[in-house]
Amino acid sequence: MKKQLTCSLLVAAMAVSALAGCSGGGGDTQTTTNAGGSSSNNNNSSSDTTDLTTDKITLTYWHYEDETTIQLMCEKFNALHPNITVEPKVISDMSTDLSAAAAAGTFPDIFSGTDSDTALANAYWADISEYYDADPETQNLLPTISEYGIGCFDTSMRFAVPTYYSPSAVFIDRNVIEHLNLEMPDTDWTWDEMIQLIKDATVDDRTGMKYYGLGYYNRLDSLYGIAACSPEERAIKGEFGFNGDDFDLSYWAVGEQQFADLKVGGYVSPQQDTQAMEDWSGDWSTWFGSTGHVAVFSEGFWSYQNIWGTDGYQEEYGLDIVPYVTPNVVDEKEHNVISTMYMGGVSTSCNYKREAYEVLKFMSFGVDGWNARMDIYEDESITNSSGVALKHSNMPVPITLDEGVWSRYKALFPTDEEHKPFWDDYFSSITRPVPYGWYNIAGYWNFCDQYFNKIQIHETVDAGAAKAADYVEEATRQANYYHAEAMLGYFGADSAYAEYYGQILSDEDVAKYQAVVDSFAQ
Amino acid sequence: MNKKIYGSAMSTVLALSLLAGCSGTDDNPTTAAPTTQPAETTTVAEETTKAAEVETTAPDNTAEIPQDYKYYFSFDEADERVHYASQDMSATPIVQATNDEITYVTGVKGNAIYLDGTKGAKLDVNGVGSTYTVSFWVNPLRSAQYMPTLQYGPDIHGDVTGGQHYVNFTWAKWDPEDTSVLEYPCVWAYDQNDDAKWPNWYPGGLDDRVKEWTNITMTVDENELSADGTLVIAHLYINGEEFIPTDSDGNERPVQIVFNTMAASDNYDFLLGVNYWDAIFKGAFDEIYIYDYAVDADVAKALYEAGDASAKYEEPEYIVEIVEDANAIDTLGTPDLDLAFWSEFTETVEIKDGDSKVIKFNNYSDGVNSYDNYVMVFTNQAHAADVDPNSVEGNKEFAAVRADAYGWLDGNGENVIPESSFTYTWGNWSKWAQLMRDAEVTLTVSREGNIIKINASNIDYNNAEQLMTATIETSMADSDSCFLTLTGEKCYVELLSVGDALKIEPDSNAIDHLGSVGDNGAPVLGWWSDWTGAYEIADGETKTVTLRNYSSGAENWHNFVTVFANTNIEGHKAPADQSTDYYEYCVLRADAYGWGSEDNAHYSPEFTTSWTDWSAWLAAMKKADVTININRSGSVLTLDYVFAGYDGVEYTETAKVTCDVIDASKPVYFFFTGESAYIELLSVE
Repeated sequence: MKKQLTCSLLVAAMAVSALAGCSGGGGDTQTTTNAGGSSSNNNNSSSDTTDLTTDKITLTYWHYEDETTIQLMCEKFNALHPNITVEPKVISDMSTDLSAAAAAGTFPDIFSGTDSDTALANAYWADISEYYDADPETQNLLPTISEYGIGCFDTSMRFAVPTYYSPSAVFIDRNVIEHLNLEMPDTDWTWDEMIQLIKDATVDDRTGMKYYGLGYYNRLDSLYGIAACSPEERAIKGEFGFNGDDFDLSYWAVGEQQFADLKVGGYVSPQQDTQAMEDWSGDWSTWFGSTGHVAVFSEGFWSYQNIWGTDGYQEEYGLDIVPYVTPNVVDEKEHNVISTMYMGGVSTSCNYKREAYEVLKFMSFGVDGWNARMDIYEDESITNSSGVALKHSNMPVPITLDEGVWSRYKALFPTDEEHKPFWDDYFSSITRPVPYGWYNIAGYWNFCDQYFNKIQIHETVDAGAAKAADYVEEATRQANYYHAEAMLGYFGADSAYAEYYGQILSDEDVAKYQAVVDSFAQ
Repeated sequence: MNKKIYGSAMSTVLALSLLAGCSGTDDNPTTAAPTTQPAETTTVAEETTKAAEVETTAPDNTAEIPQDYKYYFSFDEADERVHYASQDMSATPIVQATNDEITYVTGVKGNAIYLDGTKGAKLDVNGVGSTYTVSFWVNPLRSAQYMPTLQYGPDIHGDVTGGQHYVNFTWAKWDPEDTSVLEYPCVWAYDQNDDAKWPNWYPGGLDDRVKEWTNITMTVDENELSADGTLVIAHLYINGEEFIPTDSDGNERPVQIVFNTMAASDNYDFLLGVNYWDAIFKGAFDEIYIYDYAVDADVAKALYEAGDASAKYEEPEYIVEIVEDANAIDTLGTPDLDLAFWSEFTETVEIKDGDSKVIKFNNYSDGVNSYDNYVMVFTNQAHAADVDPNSVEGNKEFAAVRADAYGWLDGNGENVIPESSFTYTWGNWSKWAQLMRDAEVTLTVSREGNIIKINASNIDYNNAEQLMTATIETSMADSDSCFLTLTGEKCYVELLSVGDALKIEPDSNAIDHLGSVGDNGAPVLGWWSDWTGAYEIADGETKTVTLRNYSSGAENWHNFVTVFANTNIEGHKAPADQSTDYYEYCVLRADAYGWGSEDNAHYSPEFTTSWTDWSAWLAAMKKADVTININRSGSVLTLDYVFAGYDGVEYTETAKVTCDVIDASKPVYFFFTGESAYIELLSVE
């Protein structure tokens, strides 16, 4: 549901320094090389934990990941810290579950969520800057976390860290390309080259099933947003052209229109569970990714792990799927990638915040945690309740840049001579995630819920009934308003957080956001 | 003349086993499971005989299945209590029984009723009381979130009581441990008038059970209540075994539903595969039993064992039934589909520069070749029907455009119109040719200089749109006239209407407007996205409003809406954002529907309309001049509408709403909003 709302606009902002004021990264623009984490398969802790309590305690961790995986992770954490038991729980509905827990006095000590507005509006997440800043491992994470202040929400505090990372991905079926006598593009391709391939690979010989250039899960406007312009033009760090201060949907509109034009032009395959799919493939339930009649896919990375990468799948359907770098519009060699990025934090109600931080770290970016995950994922005899090996059950991508972890992680994917180069290039391209807006921009979800989705922009533009550009001015105004209102509501003097930290925003920021709100009301 | 055409063998969905893979709309897809593949099956002959006294016809397994059922449907043969049911959003009620002949397929015991995905079934069943059993077999060919299988209740849509009230066996992704899996059966009950209770139950760990027979039996005894006493515990048996999952703490998680779901009513619905909101089911049902008591586990097992779950059926091919339309203003060919190419023509329609024409017709074809359909021919000379354009002196043929997105220029078959001039939504030509055997076509044709633009909306027999557009550059000179005639090949065309395309023409005298005009000329206005300013109406006062309403014509609610609230509202800003005291007394749609705040706690409406044909009203509202006299008297708001429709017909409606929170001391304001409409406010006096 939320995915359908996204229309992003981001940019390769490699030169952008860390968010001013956020204590997360202090301007340390990281590279993709290992800066000090472990580099082997071991269980040595990477940071000092001697200050942890020796009391026997139990902490609760609520999450959205595979239940079996996190249960095993809890056990592995306990093996490292025998006095700390972690009880996990899969969240059913974030807002409902958390509010019920708050009312019942059973609030989790740590939780990871699929949006951030719920947590921020209710001051559920505590400021963990003290622990994060003192942790040397945070210096070796995906660089956009510090550069863009992911988890800081444009404040001077850190309320969350990414707990689950899965980037968007473009995939190509090599068999389709070969069948259509087309050339595989360079992995360092451009946006225009991708669009042209989609068009070239849409082939209809008026017999049987047409070949479509594109099958999509992620709309292309979301991808375009991260590729639209140089950081010098606009330092975009979030969807809808968000640069930390305000939105500019003019970039988004270009991608939105381009995608709509492809749909109207007949370059995009039908979706699963539709009459159009049944008419095309003969079966209502067909997924376009199994047809062997689609060339380019705009997918979540999990589509490979969960489906294409399972044993025998590609052979059964005659596919040869390889990942591609999300192309840039401008000539930037470093790629941002729009991503699913659950955010997790330590609860304000938690009595053992230091220990809870250690759990949070273990579950998200910590090297120890990632090595523990690799032990789990490498052993395909371990399955979840559905009998699925855990690496095929929404396995996330490492958030640490630790070379040892990455070496083990890459080994889970094709390593043969023919396919490895594609995977190497792809993995090199996904170190700069930009979360979808609802993970990291205050008020973003309200904007989508109250405005963007209600006026059915995607549907209207996709149907050719209007141009995306028509919406830019008002949508930008609305987005800025919802963000400003949320920043004041979450971090202002009257916010729930004020009880813990006073007014988090500076007076200058308050005045800035209030001006936007006041301007909107006029 | 009626003529049935058996199409060439339709590709059956059963023959394909493409994997149902990545979720298209969810955050967390998981590994997909292969669809099942029934083996070769038999299509049951459609001809059946009616059986009288069906209720007395006992099933074979009399030793095990109690014969004191209140209803039993074997679907072995024609049964006057069984009707196909359409879902027409522009009709009232939305679900209506039809007289269509029932199609049967092989069932678990004898025959089963087949639903083709375009319509469901409505059975003549009324409620049997507070304690009951329902049992049925279902074999779906498709699944979708909230698509109904069996749905029943005293007032499913709330048309009579104002509150929806039902039980629905459906698909949903409610399992929190894997929200990507569409599970069946999920049980969703609702009683809007009983504190809006809306219990939803999922089995957990099941799949969608598509392309297999499943026996569902549910027993209900309203003496068995949930722990808090607010819901009824039901017992669900899947294939004869009671199914009670447990939650993560090991506690049993039985089905819970609302009360009185089998209370007899004058508006009782017992629906198969269709409801008032969701996508329509495709597949088969068999062996439905209804008892006025809760059967025990042994009986539930017997109900399952009496059927053969391994029975297979093949999706019946679609049979085209040509019923000649008496309202056709012209025809091409005959129902024998022997029309020779370039042999018959309709009377020409002039397409003036800058104008658009809308032509509606039925297209029947033999489904053999993609070109066996209608053809549009653009020339410079007018001619009468059945005149070959080439026989007209001075004729110049600018373009001939086939339905299958192909054509040529200047009367030269070698001068093919570039492929890039066309777009079309279909991706399988074999299938498309089949679908065009029975299609309702709406052509919107316009001319801009030497450019001819075509929007061909072909609604096939699945009620799906097969859309073709063309933008064709011709050799037409500015001084040339342009006429369109239709011809075709191996098809039968019934021309139904020719008219001017509706054009939204903004009125400079309007004092305000809502919405915009899309590139395709259609109105664009999202629900609750724009509002006029408010006007206060004092107690005892009457105000007269005039406005012009353009709508999409697609849904009844795609029109203007009148909102009454307690605070003044500035136009084009979200009302609730303008005052913390904002309170909506009521929201009244133009289509005689509305609601109040607080779950209608203070909202009591009475609607009367001069029309019963909602399709006609909906068509008229595409462009209607509307006058509304709004009167406030105490707590009663009365709106007398006059709709001067696009069709030249005047429709009237009265909405009388009592809002008991309104008294003389409270201010009342009204303003307008709408959906998929373009609304021009002309005066408020």
